[in-house]
Parts: sequence; structure tokens; C-alpha cells
Amino acid sequence: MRAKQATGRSSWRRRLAQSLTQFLGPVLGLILLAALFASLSPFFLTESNLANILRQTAFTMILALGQTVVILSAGIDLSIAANAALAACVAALAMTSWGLEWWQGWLLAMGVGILGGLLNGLIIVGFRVPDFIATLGTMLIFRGVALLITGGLPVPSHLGARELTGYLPDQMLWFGYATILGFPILGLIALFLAVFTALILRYTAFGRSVYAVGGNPDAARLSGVSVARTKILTYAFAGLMAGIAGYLLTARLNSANALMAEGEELRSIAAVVIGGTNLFGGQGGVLGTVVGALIIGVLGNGLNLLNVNPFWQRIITGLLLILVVALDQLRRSRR
Amino acid sequence: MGKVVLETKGIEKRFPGTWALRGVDFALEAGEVHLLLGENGAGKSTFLKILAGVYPPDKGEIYLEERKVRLPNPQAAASLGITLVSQELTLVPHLSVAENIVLGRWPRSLWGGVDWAQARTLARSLLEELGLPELDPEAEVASLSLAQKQLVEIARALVRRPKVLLLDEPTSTLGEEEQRLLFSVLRRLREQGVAIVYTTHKLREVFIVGDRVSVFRDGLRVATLGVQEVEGEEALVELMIGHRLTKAQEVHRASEDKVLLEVEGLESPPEVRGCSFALHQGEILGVFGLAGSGHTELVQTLFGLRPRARGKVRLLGREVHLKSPFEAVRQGLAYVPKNRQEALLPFLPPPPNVTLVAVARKPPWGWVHPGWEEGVALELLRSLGLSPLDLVRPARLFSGGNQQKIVLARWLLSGSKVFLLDDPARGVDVGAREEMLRIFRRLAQEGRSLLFISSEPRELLEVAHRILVLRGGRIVAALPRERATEEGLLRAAMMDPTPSSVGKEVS
Repeated sequence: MRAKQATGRSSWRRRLAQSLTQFLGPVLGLILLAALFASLSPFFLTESNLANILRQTAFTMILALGQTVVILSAGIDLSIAANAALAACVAALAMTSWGLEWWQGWLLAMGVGILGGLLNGLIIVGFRVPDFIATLGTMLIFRGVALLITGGLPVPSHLGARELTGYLPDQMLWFGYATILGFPILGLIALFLAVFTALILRYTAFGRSVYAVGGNPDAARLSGVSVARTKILTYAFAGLMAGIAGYLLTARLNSANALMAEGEELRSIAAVVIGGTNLFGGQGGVLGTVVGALIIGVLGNGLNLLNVNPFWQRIITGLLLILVVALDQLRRSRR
Repeated sequence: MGKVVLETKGIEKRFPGTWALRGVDFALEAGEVHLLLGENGAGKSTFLKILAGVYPPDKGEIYLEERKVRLPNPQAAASLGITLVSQELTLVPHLSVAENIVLGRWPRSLWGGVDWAQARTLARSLLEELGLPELDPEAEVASLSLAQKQLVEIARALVRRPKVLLLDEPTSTLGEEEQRLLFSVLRRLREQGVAIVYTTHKLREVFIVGDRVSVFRDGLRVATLGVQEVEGEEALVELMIGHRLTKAQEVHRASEDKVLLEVEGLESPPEVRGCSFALHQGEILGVFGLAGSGHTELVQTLFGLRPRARGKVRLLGREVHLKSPFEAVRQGLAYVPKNRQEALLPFLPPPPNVTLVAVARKPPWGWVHPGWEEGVALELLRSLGLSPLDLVRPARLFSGGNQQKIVLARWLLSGSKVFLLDDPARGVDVGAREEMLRIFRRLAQEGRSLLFISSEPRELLEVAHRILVLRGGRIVAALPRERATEEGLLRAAMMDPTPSSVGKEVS
């Protein structure tokens, strides 16, 4: 009995140490980056700027959470930003043309997102289309459908494809700017979703199946895990996150349009990878993704403060992504 | 013989957490076949890889023909005449035999292109040299048998005319017939003065092709003997594990009347062509067959991995139609695949590996309590003797025998009554194998039933109550333990049955 307790306790400590070392790289990187910008710009550490970073990062972070679950199961969702835009457009149209309440719009956005995700999952599992191709296709489809239903115009707009009967609800717009004790509510929602995702991954049978399918699909299948069901659920989860992200982005921009969040699918993948999750599945987690998204957010914000040409920002983010993966490969080969 | 080709002094190698080699002195003579034996983790494979330049040693010196050499990478070793044929085949499947043999060493034509005519001639002459004139240089490698691929791999190594040929467990995937072919190739090379080193787990081979044998234990070379000096396999095993083996225990009796798994006329063409047998409670039913006899496919069909064309399966008294592992697991079947890598979650520690089946049976929203997971994993793995009993280390870092224990624990937790084991002790070392057989015996004693495929007749003779022999997808013999011999099994598996040699009680 005593031996059992000892093993239990020491393994708890070692596990903590292990997860810390796993995410040590990204966390250190974030701290260094923040220290660098703090020393270069007096504005960086101001309360309003930090709140701004959280607000800017929230959207990427929420998409990246969905992307994390998909990537952990060795998939990839290129349609996640398009799905967010479609969900945002449908919800915005419903609220401005049919007069849906803010919360009904929220639910609708989540519903559309989940449907889009399920579609991805069914195409991948049902027709054995590789994840990359399937979601590349639905990315185009979601954008196209969003363009069709909005007529290519922002929502709300007086020139819209639907008759405008109202504007976006005030309660919805509140989410875009409100703060609680100085914390932007957008950031709080993103952090809440991060905890939610982490709990699912760590403590549910679904979360375990995600790691199993991503780490070794053969082992998962031979152990009675339904690989098909797991994959479909991961894409549905990514769709759910896309729906929420689309709704919140609309709230912040005060309008939705079919081409919003373009390129965000790649930023979400970058956040996941910078956060240390293995692009081939089975290894990594939410904490890394949160840090990865923050790194991307801090980098953009800091370069802005330093008046770096925004064209350069893309180059620097790209270099960072490559550097992170190269360092990770180096670390692996040393072992 | 007698001239030393390759010599090492004080080779040391550390990996994170383990000391793989602790000062190895070794000498290889021209024209000898030198076998390296040792349990998994004893250091023999690491040593081979250091000789081939795959790993640099931390300390120590290597001499080739009395000149000190450095082997920073496999290319450097190859250019000095040391070539490794590794366990993983490295052929390009959709190229021809000839193209594979000359890969990277293409004979050049006048214009700088590849001279394919010369390449084919070269390939053919190498194959003839190996005694394989019937192998077509034009054949696509993907169409060859595993053994043929291995021989092509050796032919490729010979393009460079090596002085030293290193083989890492060349026989582990070969059937009896194929091994014989490999051995004749090795003898031929030996006559040409090539020095050959190879690692194996099959002790018999020492007496078949070996000139000398070195035994590794815990990162040290503990003995080197000429084959004439070896006093039987037992002596080698003692050197490998460092103490005397305990004799096999008597097998307990299985229940005569209670049948847990009944199979009638099972067919899954072309590999499985009509198998009928019954597995009793508490019984270990051995299955023996050569590669390609259909034994693997038989259990795959039972586990729902292959479509069943015809036949009935009754599990725990109920007729079942299993179309996927998903269903098989939910009906209480356990399956340990031939390849351990197919069963493990490599990045995760033992607890989630142990609970995988139990968790897979829950609905997606089902909760996995970490305290419960740790507890059951610890208890089961301790009872199976996982060592080290480390619940944090990723599963891929455990040895083969320990990985197999983790997989077994998974099925014990799920409460499976019927175990389908496909060569579970393949490639694990002697000590671990003994331990595994003990575990199987215990599982049967506790009332579970085991269908136990093995490529080693001796394993079956040690634990099985009855042994089925498969050939061409059919059960050609069913022998009770008392009547089975190693020779009898091999004969039934290889030769056309004469009426007298076939067991009558194919139940």
C-alpha cells in the first residue's frame, strides 16, 4: 500500500515536470518575446495594450483550439476559417433580416459551424478523401456559399441580398468591446474554451480516442476505438469552435462578410505547431496552443508598436514558424 | 581463417537513461560467420550499428585490417567495405530487382546516363553468385516474398564488394525454407572470404551456420566461443541470462466440456480455406504453421479484420458475426497482433495504453478518471511484472517484452475471456519469453482461453494443451501435447499429409 502511494505521488510529480518540459520551449519563447518588446517599447506593458493583445488573439486562439483537436488525431482542417465566416454570415443575416435575438444568433452560428464540421468528417470518413483535400474543397465551398447568401456584401448592409429589417443586437456587440475587471471578455471566453477543450482531451473517452487515433490508428482500431466516429467528432468540434469564433469576430467588427478571417486557417495551424503539437498527431495539447496563439499575437502587436512595416510582419511570422519546427526537429534527433 | 579483419577496443555507448555498451572488445576474422547473441537490450544491435557507422561510439577504437578507422556515418563505413543489412527493409517497392540492386551505384553510360543493360547484367551476375539465378532482375520488388526481398537487400550490399557484411536479425521474418536459402547464401559468401556478423534470437542457427558466437549481456561481451566449444543451446541461454533456467512446469488440465470459442468451416479466401476447431475454457490451443500458411489470417478473420466468406463462429455459446474489431472487442475477444507496433500508443505512458480498450468501450462523453486509470494500470502491470514499473515513461521506450505486457494488461482489464495471440513472443529475448509463457499459463489457469499462434514450435510444446497445424489455409493436423514433437510439427506444416501422420481428433 505504501509502495503504491509512493509510486502514485512520484509519478504525479514527474508527470508535472514532464508536461512543463514539453511546453517549456513555447512558454520561454513567449516570455522572451514579451521581455524584448517591453524593453523596446514603453507602451507594450500598459494595461490597454495587454487587453488589446488578448482581444486580438482571442479569435486565433479559439480557431486554434479546434485545430488542435483535429491535428492531435492526425487530421488537418483548412476549412476552419471559411466555416467561421459562413457561420458568421448566416447568423448575421438571421439577426438582421429575420430579427433573431443575440443568443439565438449565437446558437445558430454554433449549429452552422458544427454542420460544416460534420460535413468535413463525413467526406473524409465516408469517401476516404484525404483530410487535406477534403477540407481544401470545403474551404472553397463554404466561402462560396457565404458569398452567395450575402451577395458578396457585408452584413448588415442596405444593399444586401436580403431585406434589412434591423441591425446586429447591442448585446452581441457588447462581447466585442466589454471588459470584466480590465480583462476583455473576448479573451476570457477564449480562455474558458481552452479549459473546456483541455478537460475534454484529458478526461473523456473522446479525448483519449483523439490521442489514440493520432498516435497510432492501427492500435486504436484493434482496441475497439471507432476511428471513423472519432474523426467525425474532431471535425465537428473544430466546427463548433469555428462557429463561436465567427460570431465573436462579427461582434468585434460590427459586421460579417463572406471573406472575413481569410488566412486564419493557416494562422491557427501555425499557433498549434508553434505550441509544440506534433503535426502528425498523437502528441501535444491545449496549453501549447494557447501559448502558440499568444506568441503570434504578441509578435504582431509588438511589431506594430515598433512601427515595423506590416509586410515584414508576415515574413517574420513565417520565419518564426519555420524556426520553431526546425528547433523541434533538432531536439527530437538529439534523443 | 585466423586473419583479423575488424577489431574493436573498449567501445562504449550511452543513450539517455541507459548504458548500451560498456567497453566491448571484439575481433572478427576473415571468412567466418560470427553470430551475436543476447537478450533484447544486451547491446548486440547497438554494437552492430556502431560497426556500420549508424551510431558513433562515445569511446573506444575500431580497427579495419589493423588500421584505425573512424566511421562517422554509414556511407563512410560502406566505402571502407563494411555494409549493414538492417532489419527494416530499405528497398523501393515499385522499382525492379535490378534497379534496386544498383540504386545509388548506377553504372554510367558514355553520356552520363545510367547504363541499364550493364545494370541488369550486374544484377543478374550478383543473383547468380548468391545462388538465386531464378530470381528475375526485371521483377517488381513489391511482387516478391519477404525472403526474396531480404536476399535482394543482400545482393545490393554485395554491389560494393564488402569485406565485412553485417546482418541485423536476418532470420526473424523468414520461414524454415527461406532460412535455409539464406544460410546457403551466407556459406557461399564465407567461401569468398567475406566476414559476416549477424544477430539473432534463434539459438539453433549457431550450430547451422556459425563459426563462432559472441554472447552479449548488459552491454558487455561476456563470451566468445567456437561452435565446437558450445555445449548445447542451454549453455548459450545460461550465458545470455546469467543464471540457470528453470524447467518447464507441468501444464494444468483444461476444462473438457466448456467450449468458449467454436469455429466451424471458417473461410476467408484465398488464405483461410475451411477451418474448424473448438477452444475450451482454460485451454491454450497452439497454432503452428509456416509463413503463408494462413494462421495470421485465421485470427484476423476471427477478430473481424478480414471478411468472412463462409462458416460459423460461436463465442461464449452465442453465434456471432463480427465485421470489425469494434464489434469483436465488444463481444469480449482479445487480440494481440503479430507486430507490437500495431498495438501500442507510442507517445503515451503505460496507463492510457492499459485502459485503451476499456475506454474505447465507453461512449465519447464517458469520463476517464485519472485516479482509477493509475490504480488499475499499476495493479495489473505489477502483477504482470513490468520492469521498471514506470508509469510515466512513453510506451515506445520500453523493451519488447515489457511492451507486450502492457498490451496484455489492456485485455485483462477489459475482462476478455478469449485471447487471440499472433506470435506474441516473436523477437523478444529469452528471459522475457519465459516470463510471457508463464503469464499465458496463468491466464489459462484462471479460466481464460488462448488461441496461441507461434513460429517457434518449442514455445507451443511448452505451454499448449493441443496444437493445430495449418498449411495452405487448412488445418492439416491437430495434435495433443503428449503426441506433438518439434519434428512432427515441422513435418506436418511442410509436407503433404500421409494418412497416418494426420491427427484424427480435429474437433
